[in-house]
Amino acid sequence: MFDRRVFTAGLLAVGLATPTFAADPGVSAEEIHIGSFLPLQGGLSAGANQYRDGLESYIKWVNKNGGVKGRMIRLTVENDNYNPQQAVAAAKKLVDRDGVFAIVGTLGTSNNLAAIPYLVSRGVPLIGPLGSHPSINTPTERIVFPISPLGSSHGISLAAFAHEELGAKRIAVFYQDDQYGAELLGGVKSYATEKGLEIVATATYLPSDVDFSGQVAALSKAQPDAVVMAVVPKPGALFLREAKKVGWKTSFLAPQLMADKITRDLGGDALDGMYVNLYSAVRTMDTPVVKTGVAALAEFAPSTPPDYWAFIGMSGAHLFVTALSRIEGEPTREKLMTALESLGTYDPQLIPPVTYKPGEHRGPTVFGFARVVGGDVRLIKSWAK
Amino acid sequence: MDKRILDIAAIAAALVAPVFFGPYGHYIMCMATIYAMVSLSLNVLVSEAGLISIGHAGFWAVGAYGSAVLVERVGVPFEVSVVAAAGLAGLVGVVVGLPALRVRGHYLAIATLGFSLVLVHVLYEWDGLTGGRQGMFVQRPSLFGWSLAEDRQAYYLCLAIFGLLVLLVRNFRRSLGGLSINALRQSELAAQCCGIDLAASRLFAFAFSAALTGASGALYGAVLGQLSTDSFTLVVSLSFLTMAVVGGMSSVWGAVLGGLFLAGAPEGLRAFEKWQMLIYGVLLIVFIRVLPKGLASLPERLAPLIGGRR
Repeated sequence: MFDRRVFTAGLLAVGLATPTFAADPGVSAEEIHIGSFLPLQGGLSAGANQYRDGLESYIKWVNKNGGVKGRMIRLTVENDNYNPQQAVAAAKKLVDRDGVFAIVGTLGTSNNLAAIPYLVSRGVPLIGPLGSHPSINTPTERIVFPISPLGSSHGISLAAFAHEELGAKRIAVFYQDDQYGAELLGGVKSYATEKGLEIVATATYLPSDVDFSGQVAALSKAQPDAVVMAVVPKPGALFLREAKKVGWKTSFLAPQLMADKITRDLGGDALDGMYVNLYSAVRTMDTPVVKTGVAALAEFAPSTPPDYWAFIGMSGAHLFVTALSRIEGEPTREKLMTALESLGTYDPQLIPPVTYKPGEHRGPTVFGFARVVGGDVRLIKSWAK
Repeated sequence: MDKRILDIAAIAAALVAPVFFGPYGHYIMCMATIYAMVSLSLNVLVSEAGLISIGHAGFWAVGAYGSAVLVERVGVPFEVSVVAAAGLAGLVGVVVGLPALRVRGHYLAIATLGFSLVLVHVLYEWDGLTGGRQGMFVQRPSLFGWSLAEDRQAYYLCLAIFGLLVLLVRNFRRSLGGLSINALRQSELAAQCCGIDLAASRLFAFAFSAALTGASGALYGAVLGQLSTDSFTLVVSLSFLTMAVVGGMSSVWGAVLGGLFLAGAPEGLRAFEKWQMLIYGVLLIVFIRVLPKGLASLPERLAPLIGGRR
């Protein structure tokens, strides 16, 4: 009656068949659980909190409209204090204890870099890390799907705008003494070499600096036509205040980070006239996703301005939702990464086009441009052709 | 006798603990053990030698980068790199210890702070060796060629090395050198009159403390998997001192409790979200106010209360 071979074959069949129906962590019939770790306390907290508001608002808006293929999305956000050790702890908590499906929307270079080896070891997709490092912006790890441009791309775009749109021939560079500043300076130098422009002066600062009179004196003495700045909000705002105080008039250009509401409040009218390259939407962009983003923020985070941090925080969520909606059948991490790689060169509208293809994951390489006028950001041109 | 039973119970608990936690818990336990090594090294310097350092993140960085460079660039086995990193940090400790021969108190604190800032800046600028601004990825810890891919495995390695360091420190305390350093702390003049060499003793204290911290740094880099100079800032040096004070400066128990506090408190307070750091700060103030000798002194503080009720 009892055939051992049939029984063994049956057991084997069940064993082989089970994984087909087993869902990846974080996926249930009702919801998909994702996680994020952000420096919600410490020096980057002002931006990080707006970044989180953008991320959360977009997810809430998606859920309000029925979720993705009937599943709601649940987001758990952990604070990493911009500490690499705590970032890894947060990632491990999210993946190993909470069992999230993917990490979506993270902020900071050191903390992202610290978490990447672990996420690679677990095969967990990291969608939308914002930072300045080749391993983040042009990663070789398949799990990483970047949203931010390389620092050198910033430098090239700002130098090109100064030269082609403002007619600048003599360029000065004011940059932060770190990876971000060095990459941007490298971009300006490569463009200047190609076009035969002269870099007439450079000056550096440390993020803890508060007195920029020396740098302003040194750079203004060189009489540049334009100053490209690789700066973060507080030092950048203080530098421009010092320039205004001494009556130095030239064209200042910086990454969009410098035109965020937080920075505009810090810098006041010293920021007036500054040009920025855009790698995140501005609210006046008339595209469906930006309109959705503005509406989502108005409903779910009304105190957060629809601005740089919030839009760039949304972009990771938008890419995740877009890829998730393309998945046929039960979502798995492998299918999610394949869906993201099927996007090719894709314009999320909240940020310039990204390129996700098998073997090539790249953040934006084209930019829009805007100018700060009267405390507001005026769009000069979008990245969309 | 009671103390020995307590020690055996603690060792047993440390060995069995991973069974009750998942991978996330194993990582926190790894970090707590790594921090406990730093706390142990500060115990030697502050409690035994009566010196101060707010530059221990610098020694930690020497150990972390030293081991990583040896493993990644030279191909040295990890276990050898830990010993080499400890030795390298010890040598640097001798250099940093030189100011300790001339200055004390606040001045020594500032000298060690200056060392740490300079050292981290050198690591930051030395692109070719350390990856500089970009930092460097580090292989998982390994033992005789066997990669400890899981934190549970790495925890046992950390625990074994911590046990070894505890034995070293205990022996050091009982040794002539340890007793000499202790005598110098209590009275420099009297100790020197007894023939104790102040310069050699102080330099040894710095070197020994730095070497312990260096071994911890080697494990930190390998368990974390990535190194950047953001991990070795002034804030980190200060948090090490905080950890040593909260745990208790004069015992191994203090080092263990300090390590657990530094690694565990931010995780335990996650549920409080935006209040996390505020509560952490308040806890520190309460500990310093209520338990100035650290968490290790809790049984001693509770004993009269329990006795009083009898």
